Amino acid sequence: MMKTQLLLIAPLIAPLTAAGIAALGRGRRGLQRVASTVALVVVTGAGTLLTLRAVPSGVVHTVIGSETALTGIALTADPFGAALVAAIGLLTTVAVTTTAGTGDDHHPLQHPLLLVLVGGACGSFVAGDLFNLFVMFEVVLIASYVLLVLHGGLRQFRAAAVYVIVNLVGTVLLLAGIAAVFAATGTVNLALLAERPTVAAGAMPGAALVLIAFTLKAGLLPFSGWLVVGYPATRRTTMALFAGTMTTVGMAALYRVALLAFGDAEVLRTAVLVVAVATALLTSLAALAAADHGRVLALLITTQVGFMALGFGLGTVAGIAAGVFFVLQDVLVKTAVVLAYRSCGEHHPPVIRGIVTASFAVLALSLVGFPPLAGFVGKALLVEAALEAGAVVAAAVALAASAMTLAALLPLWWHITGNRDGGGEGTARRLRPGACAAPAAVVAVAAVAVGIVPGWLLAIAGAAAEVLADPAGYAQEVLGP
Amino acid sequence: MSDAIATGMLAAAGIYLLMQRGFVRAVIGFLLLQHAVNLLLITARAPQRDEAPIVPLNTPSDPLGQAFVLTAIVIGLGSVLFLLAVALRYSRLRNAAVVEQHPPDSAARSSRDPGATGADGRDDRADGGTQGGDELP
Repeated sequence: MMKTQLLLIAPLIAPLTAAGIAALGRGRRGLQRVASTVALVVVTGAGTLLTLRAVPSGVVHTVIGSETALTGIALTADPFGAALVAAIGLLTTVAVTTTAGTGDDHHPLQHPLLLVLVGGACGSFVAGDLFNLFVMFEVVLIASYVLLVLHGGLRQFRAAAVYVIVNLVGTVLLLAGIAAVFAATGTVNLALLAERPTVAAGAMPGAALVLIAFTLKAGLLPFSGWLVVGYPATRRTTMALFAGTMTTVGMAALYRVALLAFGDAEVLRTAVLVVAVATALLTSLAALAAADHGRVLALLITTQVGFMALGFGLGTVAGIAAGVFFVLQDVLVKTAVVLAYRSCGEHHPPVIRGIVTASFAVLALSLVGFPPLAGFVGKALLVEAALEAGAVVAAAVALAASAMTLAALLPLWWHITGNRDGGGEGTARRLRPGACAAPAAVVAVAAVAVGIVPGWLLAIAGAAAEVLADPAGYAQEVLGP
Repeated sequence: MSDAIATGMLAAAGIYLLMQRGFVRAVIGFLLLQHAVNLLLITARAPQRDEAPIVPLNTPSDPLGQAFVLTAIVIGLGSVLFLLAVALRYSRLRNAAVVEQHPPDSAARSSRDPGATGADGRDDRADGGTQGGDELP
């Protein structure tokens, strides 16, 4: 029992503690890097252990500060949340290594903020009630606001204005939704909400508001402007970190909360499906037309979000499993694509340049969905699930969006093979070429490996889908008989 | 009833201000919207609304709603402070950019072809001629 509690708290406490240490040790970059590394190892380790426990047993859960789930802080890790904790740990490790390699972490607050962001993200993946989820969202967002303007020039501040205002409006919507759900059902606990009907209790307006807030945070279409404006203005490695974490936090909340708490609200799922299809189609079209490469990457990140939400929108067990698989591989691939693109440049020795170019090629193809890469498996599963559920349009749009992703990535490929600089805002001071190239290369190899041997990740996705598609079982598991 | 009207008015005023162009106006709009939602949270714990959350007196009211509002107020206040800091820093950066770029601009205007400088006059560097010091595109 004690050990379960520790495992669930560790991904939250370790980064926040390390953030405190790193903030106190400002100016000592060695100390900050050690603190980051230790915290990220703890997060990845705890995430892995949680996944190993959650996959066979369904849900790992605990309550802090009280005996019952009604008054305490509920932490629950379903297989999806647990696997995401591990994935965030990995992708942040990748991003931090590159940050250290490019010297982008010279700002004394870079490491503390990054750790706060990771802590908040992990907290949102294991939050057991809506209000804690909201608090964790805020932790992530405030850290990301400051990261955005940390190296601020005029451009950063202008982008931050859009980014901050839109996200805060999202926060207010979420809070209003939570209030409405609370008024209708009398609880914000996920397990209790899973037990109670949404439609019959009159919680539909609240549920809709909460879902709108999640799609805003995830960057789905009517609200993807903040992402497309905000991301290109960040420094090279910060953009990679944002690409992996920010949208994933919204997407994970969408899957966990909307399926478990509002599982019987069919209408909302259908609405998300329509929005997801529109997002995939329109943002990939926009990426074709965008001239600025940072903007192309940001738009393609949004396209991937459309794919992620597709699985949720379908709502079948196969669809959810496909969506979970897609999210889990995509967070790493997306981060590494941005890293590879933004760490390229003529200042590297030829061997390193070759490695960066090759890993960019592999990762970009995985983003598009070429066999035998991880992205192919994810997209194949999604298209299959869509056809099975009779959503022919969704399947067709998925294929078309993939083709347009490939076309949109071509200019970036020409750019990177032309050995020009990656267009980040950073300078090439104190570059460690090995640390710039290695993380992206490792992820590229992993993408190939997952594409060839996808079985273990499919098992996690399958277990997650079973939990998420069965709210009654989840409630029984968490609340006890 | 009165709380519903208050919530509605706060929300309407907040959204109106958010739609304005100035950044500081948007911040005030966000503040009002935040308060509208705080009020909504307080009224959400409907059944025993009028009673204090004290156990020995009468039926204990649900303290959850009040805990929510407290948290929401703190977070909202922090966000507003950050927004104001962004606004301040932005206006300083903008003024600094104007000071830096002005002398070469006027030198170019006086020495070279006067017709060509009209297109890239002093408002262009801020990307689209904003007027107020606090305005962001």
